[in-house]
Amino acid sequence: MPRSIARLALLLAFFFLSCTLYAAALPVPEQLVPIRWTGGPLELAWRTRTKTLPADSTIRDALARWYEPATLSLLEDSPVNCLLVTWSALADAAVEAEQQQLVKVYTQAAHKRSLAVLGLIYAAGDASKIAADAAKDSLDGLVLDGDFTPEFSAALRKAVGSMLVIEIAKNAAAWRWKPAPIVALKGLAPSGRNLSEMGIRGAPSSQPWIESNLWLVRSLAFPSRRVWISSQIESPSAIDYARAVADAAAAGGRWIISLDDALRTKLRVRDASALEAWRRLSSYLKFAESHAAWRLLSPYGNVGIVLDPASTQPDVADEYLKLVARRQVPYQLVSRSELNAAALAKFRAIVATELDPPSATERKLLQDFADKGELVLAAPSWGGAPKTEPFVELPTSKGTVVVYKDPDPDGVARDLKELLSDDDLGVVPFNVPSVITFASGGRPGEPLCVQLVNYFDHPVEAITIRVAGKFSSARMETPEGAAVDLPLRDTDGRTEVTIPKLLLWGAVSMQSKEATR
Amino acid sequence: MRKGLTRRDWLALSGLAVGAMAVRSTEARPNEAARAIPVAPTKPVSVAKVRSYDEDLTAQFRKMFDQIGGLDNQVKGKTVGIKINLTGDGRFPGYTSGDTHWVHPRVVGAAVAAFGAIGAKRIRILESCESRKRGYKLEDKLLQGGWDVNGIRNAAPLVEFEDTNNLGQAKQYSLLKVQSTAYVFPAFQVNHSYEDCDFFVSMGKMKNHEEMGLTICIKNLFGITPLGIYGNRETVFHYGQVQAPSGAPVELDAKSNRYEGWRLPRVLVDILGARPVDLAIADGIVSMVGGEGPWVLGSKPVHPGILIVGQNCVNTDTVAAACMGYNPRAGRHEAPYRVYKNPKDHPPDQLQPGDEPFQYADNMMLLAEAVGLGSADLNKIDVRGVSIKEAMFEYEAFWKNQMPKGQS
Repeated sequence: MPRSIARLALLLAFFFLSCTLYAAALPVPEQLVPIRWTGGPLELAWRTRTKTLPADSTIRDALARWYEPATLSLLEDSPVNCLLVTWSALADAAVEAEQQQLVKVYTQAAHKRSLAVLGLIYAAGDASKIAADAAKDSLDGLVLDGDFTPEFSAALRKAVGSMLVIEIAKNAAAWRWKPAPIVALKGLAPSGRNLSEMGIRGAPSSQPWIESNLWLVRSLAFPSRRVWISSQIESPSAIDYARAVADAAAAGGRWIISLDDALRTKLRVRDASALEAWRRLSSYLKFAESHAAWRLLSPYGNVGIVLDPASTQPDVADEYLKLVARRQVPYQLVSRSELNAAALAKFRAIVATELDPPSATERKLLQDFADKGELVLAAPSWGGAPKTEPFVELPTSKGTVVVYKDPDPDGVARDLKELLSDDDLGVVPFNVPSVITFASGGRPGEPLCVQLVNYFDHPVEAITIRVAGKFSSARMETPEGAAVDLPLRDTDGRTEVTIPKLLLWGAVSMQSKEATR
Repeated sequence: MRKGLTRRDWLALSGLAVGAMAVRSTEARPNEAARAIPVAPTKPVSVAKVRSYDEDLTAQFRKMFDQIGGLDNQVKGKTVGIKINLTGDGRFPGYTSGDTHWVHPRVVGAAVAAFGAIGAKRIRILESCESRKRGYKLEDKLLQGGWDVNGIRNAAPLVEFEDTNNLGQAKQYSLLKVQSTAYVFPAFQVNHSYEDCDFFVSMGKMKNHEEMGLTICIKNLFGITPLGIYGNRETVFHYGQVQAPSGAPVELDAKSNRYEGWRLPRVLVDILGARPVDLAIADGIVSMVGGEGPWVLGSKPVHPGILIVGQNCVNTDTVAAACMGYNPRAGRHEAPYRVYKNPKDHPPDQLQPGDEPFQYADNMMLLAEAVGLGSADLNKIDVRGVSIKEAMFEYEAFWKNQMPKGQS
């Protein structure tokens, strides 16, 4: 489905869901800040079944008693407003009934605090009964968290009517073009490591290995659609939690907060160190939520990556999105079905390796684009592919078509960075081996916002950002301290700013002196 | 052969007899029958203990310059070219690249300020950046390391930066002939800046090297060979798998030993012979052991707190090696020259040297000494500032850990 139709359908879905939640004076879907808030007898039963029940009896006890009303007070002074509670797991009927009774009472208490409650479904059951029970117990929605058949998902959606149903999906590509107010995806625990720490002897030019969901969020987020990332961090530190929030939020998404059992057990008894970890996590959430305007900025990127919604190799497409982001190249997505001269006009380069082969119309569009002086990266089916070298540069009247012998996402991402000038890239960060940057805005009337997430535990010092164009101010904001103005340097008609120190997450907002693109 | 010395005497004096004949004399001096053994010169070397890069390094350099006899006459009104030591962008957690495997930007800035203060007309910062990106500049590479480029630019009246991986600001490469007896190459083509400077500085990091054992100021010169000419340094210089491309000076004997532990030290000495160094600066304030960059498995950061300056590159590396706890006259079977190469990362023919049962690198200081570029004999070098004993930081304790058990 083309993105324009998807957007319209999304707005309609959004409207009906908002009406439902508004009636209960609860946050609308786009405002939901979710947390996994699992517990009760059904949670213990499910974990026993999946052999993930903690051995520590204190932790088991804390989980069993999690739906005592006192746990809700932990959320005071936190942006969290949406609880994902254990609801259905196809367990013993008595356990399910006991759980639902607990959740019903807890939901009433949560609603009094304007907290939305979504029921987690771990295993498929009777869709009609689940829907009816959820409505009876005043849940605000359901979350499918496991392996489900498309038939069950469809049946449940049909049974619940306008109630919010979110499916935590494993396949991003399947959801990229579907209308949904919230898309939830299985993500990774964000982290960064040197290859040598993994026992790998890299090359001198090797970059650290970074696990990030930032690319995933940016590939799915519409201004009015929220992307939720579901990931569990093993033995997390306070900085791991903060990073998970930043990693999802930088491109406009939200991490489904997942506190580990040990932390929750300590939080329940108001342990000081646990409360401090929670306070720090909340400060990152507050930073994210207090900069909601960043989500509304237009996408930034002079590079367009053409994706084919009908691709039979969505994993390869995902690799392009991931690795081009890793190389710090700002890009925007272009659906193959929306490829036209107007869509191309805003770009300086197009990655068209997914068009293999391009249709005659597509080929002409891309050839015209290159003839105007721009760059096209094409698959071998374009013609003229080299036999030994990785790619060949075919000059056009003013631009270039780069034809790959056998395009691979890593090579294309690396080459893209070298084939384009700094002016073409628009935003070029320096000294960021452990950082991923995300740029947005920059159109007339909008600030240019460059967000940076550090995936190492050690801070990075002296990061320089070079931006095409002239700017009048640059302001750095972080969750840790007050905003600071950064001095601007004019370098060969470009503007440079240097960030003295980045701990984990920061954003530089730059005001343009003129239209930069 | 020098008058009054037999071959045996020469070997004994040079120390080559010790350490299992580190470099055979016939290998060390390819044309010895035709030429007399040159006397290896010595010049004073200054050693300082410097705890951190936050100290006043400009004052430290001024003091060290005075200790080695002063540089004013050589620098005043002249163009100074500084070949700095950069390499890959990897990092040890909590360290910058300048801390561990590049020279530190504050050392560069302070040296620039010191040269400026004694009247250098122009200072050029030189290094080859291995980027294919159009319009890429050395300054960009420095920014990748988090350097304060403007700070360095403003540290002296006229500071320029040049990526010497290609022609740079010139229209043609400079041909530098090896002025000492050449081992492998008779000459090299380089960026003009290595010729167009009156006073040439090699500023290296004091660290181990996976294949060469050590990399200090001689090894730093490897980067002056431009990829714009030679295409691939590994295949041309390390392994000799391909000859230098057409137009570049060809090697003397295309059938000579291809093992990099034999070949590369000799190529490095040839480069030093082609572009003699007027001042060597070894940055060992913070460094690393076990390799030349964090990508080498088993390598780790260290804090030796050492800064060394000398007017003879071979003398300076000799003192630096001693300060690292090594015998500067060590042979190929001794630390740090008996090396371990991971089979996954090296061509199979580089794993088994034909002339020895163990992987090795020849001692480039002894090779340089043998062709008269400088003495590698501590007994002949005038060490000023703090003594080697006071400065010493034992790298070897860490280097041993690089080799898997059973192979040491």
